Amino acid sequence: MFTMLTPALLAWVALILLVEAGMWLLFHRGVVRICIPADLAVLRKPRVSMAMLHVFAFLHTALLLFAVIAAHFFLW
Amino acid sequence: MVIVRSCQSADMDFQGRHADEEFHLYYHQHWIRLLWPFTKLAAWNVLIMGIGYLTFVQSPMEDVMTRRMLLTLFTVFFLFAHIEFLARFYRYFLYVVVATDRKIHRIKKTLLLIDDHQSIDLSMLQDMAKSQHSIIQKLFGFGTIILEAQETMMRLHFMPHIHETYDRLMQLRELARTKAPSFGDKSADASFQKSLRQFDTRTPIRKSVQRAYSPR
Repeated sequence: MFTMLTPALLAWVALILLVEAGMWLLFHRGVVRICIPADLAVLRKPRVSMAMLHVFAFLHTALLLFAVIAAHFFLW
Repeated sequence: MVIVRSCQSADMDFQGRHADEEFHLYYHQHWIRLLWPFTKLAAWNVLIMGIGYLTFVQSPMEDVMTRRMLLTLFTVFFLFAHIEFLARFYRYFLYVVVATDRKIHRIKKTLLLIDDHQSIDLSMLQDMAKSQHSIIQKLFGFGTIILEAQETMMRLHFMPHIHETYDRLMQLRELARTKAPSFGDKSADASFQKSLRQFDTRTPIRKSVQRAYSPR
């Protein structure tokens, strides 16, 4: 089972990491000059900063990895 | 969610900003723009998990190959739904309206294709209007602000806290008008005419000809 599972899982993990990193880089390139503050101290109503978006991207990646790995381990 | 933000620092930089522009405030669209992508993502997740549960748990398959193929198919749909949501989520943050003491900038981007920047001069603004057209818009306090200047019209859709935003923009317009040189100011007008003279390419007309054609 594991001999076939490992390449499939590795491919999924690589795909998820690649897509998430690529989208983050594209987003960062676009947003870097349109005024999302890096520091919440400059805001009167602090809601979302780049740091929070970065954390969101990490959490989303982790969620996808967990879901795909769990599903493949139990159902492969 | 991000609704309205007013930055205290005047030196925040953004695309298309002039050196002497003073930053005042900026907005993203109302968070309700993310509601539909989020609902769609949730629906896809429920659907995939529901079908997956029925397929793999309720009636387990004997054939290993079919099971793996189905699992791969479900994974593709699951990832596709999440990537689409992520693209919409990032796009939401790439739409920004920035107001400075001179201009209102609307910067609209997508991850790959669109990079659109429109700006309108506050002192040139002829008309400014706000509109809310449904119960949802009234309930959540968002709407459209329409800015009109000479031959330009800029529509800012899904502006959060529409009344407050509108008032802030009106204040900024008044501020810009007080800063701009007035038309009655003769010294400013003379210097403006003088600066234009160097671009005048018409051939000079003799005084006698000017007199002959002058209206009586």
